[in-house]
Amino acid sequence: MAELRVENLTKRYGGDTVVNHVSFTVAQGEFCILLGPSGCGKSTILRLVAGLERQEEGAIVIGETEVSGLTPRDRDVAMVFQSYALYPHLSVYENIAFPLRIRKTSRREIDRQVRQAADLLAIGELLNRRPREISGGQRQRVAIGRAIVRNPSLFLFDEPLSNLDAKLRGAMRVELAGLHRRLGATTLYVTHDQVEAMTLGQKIVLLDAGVIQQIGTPRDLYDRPANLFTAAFIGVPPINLFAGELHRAAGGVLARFAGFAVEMGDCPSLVPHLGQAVTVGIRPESVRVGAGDVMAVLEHAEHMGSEVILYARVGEARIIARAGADFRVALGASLRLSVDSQSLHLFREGRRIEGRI
Amino acid sequence: MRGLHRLGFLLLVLAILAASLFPFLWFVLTSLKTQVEVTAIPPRLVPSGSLAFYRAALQEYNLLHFMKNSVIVAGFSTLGTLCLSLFAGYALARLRIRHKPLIMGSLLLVSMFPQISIAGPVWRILDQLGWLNTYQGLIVPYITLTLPLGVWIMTGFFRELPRELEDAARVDGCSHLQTLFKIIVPLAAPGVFTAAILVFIYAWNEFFFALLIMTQQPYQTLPVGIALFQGQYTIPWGEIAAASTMATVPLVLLVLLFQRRIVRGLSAGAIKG
Repeated sequence: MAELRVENLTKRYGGDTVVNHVSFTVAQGEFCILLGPSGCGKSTILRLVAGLERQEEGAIVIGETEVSGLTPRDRDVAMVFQSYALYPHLSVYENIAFPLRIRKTSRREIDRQVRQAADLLAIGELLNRRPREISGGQRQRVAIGRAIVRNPSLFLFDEPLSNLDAKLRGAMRVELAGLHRRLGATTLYVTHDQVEAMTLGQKIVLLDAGVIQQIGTPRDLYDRPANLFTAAFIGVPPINLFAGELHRAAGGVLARFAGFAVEMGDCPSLVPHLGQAVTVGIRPESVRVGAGDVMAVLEHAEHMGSEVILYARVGEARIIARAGADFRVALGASLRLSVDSQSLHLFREGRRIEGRI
Repeated sequence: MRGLHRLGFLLLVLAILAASLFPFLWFVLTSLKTQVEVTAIPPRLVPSGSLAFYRAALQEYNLLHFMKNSVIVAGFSTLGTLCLSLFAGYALARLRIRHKPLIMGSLLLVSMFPQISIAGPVWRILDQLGWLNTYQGLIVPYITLTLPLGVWIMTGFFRELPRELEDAARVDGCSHLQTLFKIIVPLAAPGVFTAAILVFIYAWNEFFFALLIMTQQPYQTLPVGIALFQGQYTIPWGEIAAASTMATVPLVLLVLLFQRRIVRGLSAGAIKG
């Protein structure tokens, strides 16, 4: 196991810069997620780290070695692909053994490693089958097995769960987390699915258009989004965003937006932004339903079983709120809403304003 | 109405089949006749089943000698074409090469030249090299002529294979060549087979260049050897028929044996597999 350091990485295709001066570190044994919408460059970063592509600028350091000049075989990384990329003409056993055979490991050692990996992944009975004869979830395990036997310095995962159905994906997520706890492997994991990112990641690197938007723990990204992109990208249902303004009032600073007027208290960090157009973000669970003096009209309600997602209108603006499972109000009825100043996220020109000292 | 439709279709198929198989059938029948039956008027349809012509073709006309030459020439041509088109096909399918369509197009163009237009230059080159009446004198032109076919088939096959497999092989520690031989070639086996059989058939049947280049009996291939059975005043129809049958049967068997692979090979690229 080793640390991964990516410094100032840049990749261009023709005139397009798909990875733009990206720097981040994955500590030894850390599970790091590269998250972003499709086309944000996250898979390209993974391929650059694997050595399948060459960068125009920047360095990739695994452990103590700068690997930019090395071929994939000399980088000591293992990769699990979205399509699993199992070799169709080889049995499950041979698929898992393949990287060891290429490295001319002894027959006995190969057998030991393959059986150990198969036990760990509970695919012992499948060893003689061909990839086309096993299910998607089993193929995924085989692909992971092929990565594990290598005992590499670094694991790379390229959207490994996106070809599985929703139920299996949930189960595999739990298994992957368990596997990582057991192996303690340094892992770089690409996904566009924020649920995977939030549940698996110890660190998330959020990308958009080849540029890092924020690096942090899942909690950091959710609780303190550094910019509008992060705020809007993370969270299901998504954060409510309103155009608003900051005013001076008797009690300090007042945030006005979409019919709300929220006292922010006496907060010096907000003073430079007084009178300026800002964007106000409120997570759906921070909207209190049933109290307050803002009136909203309920347009739609989604009953999720454990909770109800409310879609309401306040004047011209639309707002999403969460309510308990026992919530009962007819569509078209009026709701009282209020928000707490502590739960507001303020952004000016797309960047977060720290509202609290 | 439907029945009539089907009947019409069946008759059409039978007619086409009969037309294409008739010459083959006729020389198979002829080969099994006796000398008297061959020239009988009216012609006899059912032969007596004599193997005399086969014996004569093998012993008097030394058919096995020509067959040996054909196996050598067709075999090495197939090997050569396969090797080259494997590498060329992989490069053209996968590497970033400029003017790829132009390269593919010119390859196709080469295969379109009428043989007669290149016969002269080829003969002169071989003459200069002293390669007339040598195996390589025929093998090298055959490889050149069948290379476009091979490259096109292999390129088509390699393009169809998922790129992630190659990426996986590279990360698993394969060099480019190991990737090609351990992953790509086994998966493109239907294409390799198709190319091999088509090239082999071409080289086995080719007459014009063989006649031009192999003027001495020790190096002549089957088509030329059989054609030269005829003397100045006689045409030994029965022996020619027997020899032709023996030259054709291996090919027919080969094609029947691999027919599923060939069909898959020829239709590759048409549908995603």
